[in-house]
Amino acid sequence: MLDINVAQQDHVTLVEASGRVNSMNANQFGEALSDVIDKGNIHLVLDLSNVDYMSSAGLREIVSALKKVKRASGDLRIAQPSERVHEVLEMAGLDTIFQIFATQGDAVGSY
Amino acid sequence: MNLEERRLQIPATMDQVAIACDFVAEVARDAGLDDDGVYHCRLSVEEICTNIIEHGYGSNASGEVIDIVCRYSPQRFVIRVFDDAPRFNPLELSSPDPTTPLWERQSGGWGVYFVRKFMNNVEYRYEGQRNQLVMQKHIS
Repeated sequence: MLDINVAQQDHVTLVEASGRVNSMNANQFGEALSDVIDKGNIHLVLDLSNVDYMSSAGLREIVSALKKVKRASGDLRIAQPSERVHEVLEMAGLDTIFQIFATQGDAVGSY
Repeated sequence: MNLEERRLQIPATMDQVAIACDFVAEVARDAGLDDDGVYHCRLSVEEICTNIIEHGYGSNASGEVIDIVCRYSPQRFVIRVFDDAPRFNPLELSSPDPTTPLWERQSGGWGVYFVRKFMNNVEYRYEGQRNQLVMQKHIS
């Protein structure tokens, strides 16, 4: 089960995901991110505090989304990843590629 | 030594992978693994089943199956995943490098990388014309 909520905070688009991001729903996750970006939103904050599971399929989608916004001179910054998500981000070396913030407010305010 | 053993067979389709994950998580819990251990087993089985469906069977997955056998003793939990795809040892793939810069990153290889990190021992066997991946987790 994966829920995705998109909200606008000034010029920053906040994407809040909750549930598990796995091989079965990673496409849905990736499409939601692409949809936001394709609408011209390139300053994104992805809040992963309520995602308690992310496999490599999910990581693939956020890396792909990051490349897409970077090409448009934007960024995708991660807010308060859960411990489990932080672990896989770190293992894949993505903690040095994404800007990761302890709170949603910090991530939104970083733009 | 008495070993508990439980088996599951799923059709080799993506919508069945969650069933395999739930099965392994339940047996892992029964085996006495803690929350971290259960999570690691769940994620590892997802990665392996996904690889089998996407790369092993590929477009020939129709009618194919994946067998999962969990066996445990008080000390260790062993998951064996069997498939009938062409012989392929995923452990021979070179591991992706976590220090690779964003623009040079390839999308593949991370699943097996996580399995190697999360499980205490991972072996590949080819027996009876079936691929078999054996993953072990210590029970503390």
